[in-house]
Amino acid sequence: MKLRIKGIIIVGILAATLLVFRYVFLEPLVERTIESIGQSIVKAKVDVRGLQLNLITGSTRIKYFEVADSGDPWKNLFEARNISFQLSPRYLTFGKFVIDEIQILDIKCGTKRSTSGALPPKPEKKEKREKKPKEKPSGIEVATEKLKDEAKALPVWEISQQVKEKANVEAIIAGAQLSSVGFVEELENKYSDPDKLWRDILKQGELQSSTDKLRSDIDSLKSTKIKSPQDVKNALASADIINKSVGLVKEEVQSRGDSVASAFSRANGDIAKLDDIAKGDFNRLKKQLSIEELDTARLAEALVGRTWMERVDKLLGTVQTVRRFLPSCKKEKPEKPRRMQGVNVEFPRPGMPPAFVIRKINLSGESSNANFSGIVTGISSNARQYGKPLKANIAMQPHGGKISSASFSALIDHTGDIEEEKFKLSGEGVSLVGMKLGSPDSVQLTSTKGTADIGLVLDAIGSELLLKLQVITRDFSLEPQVSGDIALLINTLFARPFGKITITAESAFRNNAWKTKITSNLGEVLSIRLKQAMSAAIAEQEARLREEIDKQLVSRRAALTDKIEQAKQRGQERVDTYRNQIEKYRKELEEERAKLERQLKALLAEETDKLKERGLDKLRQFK
Amino acid sequence: MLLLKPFIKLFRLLNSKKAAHEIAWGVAFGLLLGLTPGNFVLKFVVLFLILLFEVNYAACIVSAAVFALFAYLLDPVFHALGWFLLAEVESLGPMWTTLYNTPVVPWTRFNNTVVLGSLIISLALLYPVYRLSLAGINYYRTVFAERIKRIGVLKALKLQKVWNFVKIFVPHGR
Repeated sequence: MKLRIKGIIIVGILAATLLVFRYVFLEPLVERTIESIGQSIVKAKVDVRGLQLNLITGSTRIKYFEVADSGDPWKNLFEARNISFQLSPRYLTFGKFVIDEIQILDIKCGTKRSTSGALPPKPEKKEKREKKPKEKPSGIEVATEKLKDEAKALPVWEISQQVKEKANVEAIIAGAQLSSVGFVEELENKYSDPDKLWRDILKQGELQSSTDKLRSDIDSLKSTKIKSPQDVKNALASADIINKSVGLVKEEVQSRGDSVASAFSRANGDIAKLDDIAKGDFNRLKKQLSIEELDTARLAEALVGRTWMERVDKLLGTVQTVRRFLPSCKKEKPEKPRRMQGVNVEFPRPGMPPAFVIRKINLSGESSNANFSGIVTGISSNARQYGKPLKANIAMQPHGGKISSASFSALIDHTGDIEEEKFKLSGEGVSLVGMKLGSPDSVQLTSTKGTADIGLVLDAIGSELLLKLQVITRDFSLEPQVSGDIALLINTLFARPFGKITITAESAFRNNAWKTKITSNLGEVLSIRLKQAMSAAIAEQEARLREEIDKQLVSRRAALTDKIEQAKQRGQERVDTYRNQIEKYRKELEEERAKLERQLKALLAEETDKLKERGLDKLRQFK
Repeated sequence: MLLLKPFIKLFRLLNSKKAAHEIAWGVAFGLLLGLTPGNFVLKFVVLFLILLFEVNYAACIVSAAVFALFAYLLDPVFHALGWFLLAEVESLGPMWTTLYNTPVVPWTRFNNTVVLGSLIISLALLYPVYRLSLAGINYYRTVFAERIKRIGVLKALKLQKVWNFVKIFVPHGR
């Protein structure tokens, strides 16, 4: 084979072209490549400008790096200036991108963009002929799926239902058997003819015949013709007998009158008893109005549970994203090689890092709320080969007033067969404004004021998860979004700030099942407030209950009382009539007796005079 | 027709006055290009050699296309050979390990079974293919071209169109 002169020229031209490419096109090409990779990850525009690459030393500098927010394309997720790092030339010869340290010192989060950061819509891909077989869902996917069931199983604060039931006095009365109503019916039947009370006692016919007899006796006494003192004596004897009868009848009337009085007194006693029974009814129904002891633990779960589950869901999403981008390097069974792909046989390479390594990132910057600085170490494409986990420690010094101080640490250990992630977030003086509690199904609460010290820990080992949250609030206010009858009560409950509230939530996913435990003194505080708020409402309802019971009794009671009172009066009148009659008879009898006595006296005087005359005559004759 | 063009070019080349060894080396290098899938470093080296030495480009392209088809068919053989050499021959282990730990070499992806298998086979076939091609070209030019020429009777039958097509396969000046 001979050397081709033309070929040497062509190779020279190619080399020159490569040089031109290096100095004109390489850096823009690398910029576009970084943008393309970044855009595929964040699903929004990534802009890289001012990249300077030194292929010999591996020194790289990016003057401007901007990543748009996929959620809000007119904002940047972050932008950074002057990123500098050095690719290790030694490892580059092995096809490995190893960076010892990256300095990203001027990160700004949430800055505005002059152009939209949304990616142009991709043309729809034609369906592939061969559908990939569904992969077995990962542990985190199973946990996320089961979390929905766990969220559904959480209790809901049923205060609306609970209070509505208590407030419905009409329903309570309609559903209750009122003893007082039964008793009033019984009394109405018993005293349907209250005159019977005195009539039976007086046995009208008997007393009437006794008085009639007295009348006739007195009349016959009066009509007795008196001719002699003997007649008078006889009449006086009769008068004494009649007087005795009058006394007896008088006693009878007196005793019957007392019986009538006591019968009516018993009737009035019955009516008074009705009041006691009504009181018993009221006390019994009042118990239904009182709010029983609230299950404070359940209440805390109902208020905090849903919000916690949403956070857990987001955290699981984070773990899933981490595992997607930083996969573990499990020792997989050698698969049957795909056609034209072959199998890569790995040989021992002691101390050789994986294909992509960033040993350390020093970062600092500012977001809208805080300045932050931190260190991230151990980013690699193959953690098992690299042998070190990814660690991140970021401290925040807030300036926006929304948070006092915060720190974040992460440990992502994918060096073994089982992935392990630990995230720890703590913040002091975190603003709670806008935080939502409760659920839209019952009562939704939005925090309007307050700060909290928050500690959040996520520990994921394989498919086992443990999430812990502790929140200690200060001067914490909640605003309820509720309408209807219950609104006033709910607004009263949340009218005052809560002060120090401690919320502890813990969710664990083990053996394919979630176990959630939420504790908070919010339930206890609310329970006390509810009782206080309900006491006025309950008093009002009690008054209504009393009114409702009275409504059913008062008119009937009054009618019955009137009826009995009238009968009592009539009975009393009748007794009085008898009394008066007897008194009249007694007087008449006394008068008659006096009259008889006078007659007797007169007759005796007359007799005496006659005897005197006769004696005088005899004397005269004698004389 | 588009698919036929390289072949037409090849036949024109065979019928041209180009040196037979240039065409034969073209075919041999085409074998290297065609049979070694995914080995870009090797391909780059081969292209560099093709440019530097007097190797016929057209023969190389046609040969690479033909051998690429063979590569697909021979894939299991490449894989088996590569696996045997990389994983089963223990005595070669230290060599592979050394190569694996040598700068730039890993870019060749030699540790891939198909890449190594195809490289070994294509290197083994390089010279035989060159010799066979050379012999084949010479045989074509001396024997087969003469036979084609006799089909000139077609010209007499005024089948101009057919003749124009066949003319492609007839050596110039005959």
